[in-house]
Amino acid sequence: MPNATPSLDTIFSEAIELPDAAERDDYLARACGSDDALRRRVEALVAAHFRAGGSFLEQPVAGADATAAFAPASDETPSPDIGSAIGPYTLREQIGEGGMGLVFVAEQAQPVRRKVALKLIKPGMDSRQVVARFEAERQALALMDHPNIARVLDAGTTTEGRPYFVMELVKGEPVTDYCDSNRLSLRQRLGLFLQVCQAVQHAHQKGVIHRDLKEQGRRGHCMDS
Amino acid sequence: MHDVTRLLDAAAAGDPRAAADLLPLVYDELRRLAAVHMAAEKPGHTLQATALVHDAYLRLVGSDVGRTWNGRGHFFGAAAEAMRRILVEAARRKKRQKHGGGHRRVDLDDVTADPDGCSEELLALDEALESLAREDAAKAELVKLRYFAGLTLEEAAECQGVSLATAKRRWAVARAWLFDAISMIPPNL
Repeated sequence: MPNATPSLDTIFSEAIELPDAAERDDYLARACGSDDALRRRVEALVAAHFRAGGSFLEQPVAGADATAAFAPASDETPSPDIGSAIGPYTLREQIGEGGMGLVFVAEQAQPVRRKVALKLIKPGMDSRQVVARFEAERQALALMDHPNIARVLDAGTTTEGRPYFVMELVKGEPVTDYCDSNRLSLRQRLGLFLQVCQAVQHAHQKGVIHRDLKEQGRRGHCMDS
Repeated sequence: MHDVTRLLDAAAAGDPRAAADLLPLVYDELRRLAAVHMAAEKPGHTLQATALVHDAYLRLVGSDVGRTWNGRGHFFGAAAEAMRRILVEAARRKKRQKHGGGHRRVDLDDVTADPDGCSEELLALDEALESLAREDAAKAELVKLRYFAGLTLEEAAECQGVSLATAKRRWAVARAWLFDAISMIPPNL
């Protein structure tokens, strides 16, 4: 089709409406006249049309392949954030990951020097809904005022517009490990569990529901006396 | 987001650079939206490419009021091309992994199964589409709008500024042409 020939399109469209091969031949002979090249072209296309059947290209691309196309490639670098600075915080190792955010240990330089936990929304996740949920999480934490719940220290947005918030860094191991390595008795374990419940109750009294309590998330450490 | 509306207006007024500048913006938005969708959904959920394109339109252009199809046509043209590139990249990547390109050690979990050979089909279609574009740009564009952006024939006709009857004819010819090209028996056009 060196130039788009409307006549080819029209002849083709008429021809495919004729299911009977003999009728088609008749029609093509009349429509193409002495133009053999045109006739050959149309015949080839008509044949392809019937071989293709009704469904070829009719469904827009979708389904499993579209999903795989948007999944991150396995050879993409794991985290572009480590070492970068967000305000007075320099990100160090990643210590956690949730549905929406990544948690890092960060070094704070100003106004005090200390290590903190910084939760940063994942890259590419800044639709209004996700941001609202992230912000709601920060607000909920900020409401907490309990010795066994890490305090929110700071919050903000990076220069690229990614929300984050900063919390006390709680050292320690998952409470289950803590219990095992310190060989706590059943009574002592229940005592720890009670502390967790009290912390959760505090949240409930503030109108906040956790929705994602995990044993791995609960930390045990000895308070300095 | 105003960048996109500005570009759409410029493209509708005939600025070819504006039309080209749309592509990276739309491409980024599609990837971003996909990441959001994927993170929110359970594993095994399938991503509807055309829903993504319409979502991107809403987010980048916003309210539809007063926007003619000519303006929207440039958006969907860019979205279709962006979607095509994203999918073709992924298909190529999958193909490389299957054939152990680079001899990296790859966990089996990382290699997505491709039992239907959908990647091969997509790559073949992509090649055929390139050829078609050289022969008849309007037909190739029509196929992209329908297949990659998910527009109906009516919507695509409006995008291209042709009658529905013309779009129908072109669509029928393009389908046959591509089927032939993919079957490696191209008609002598």
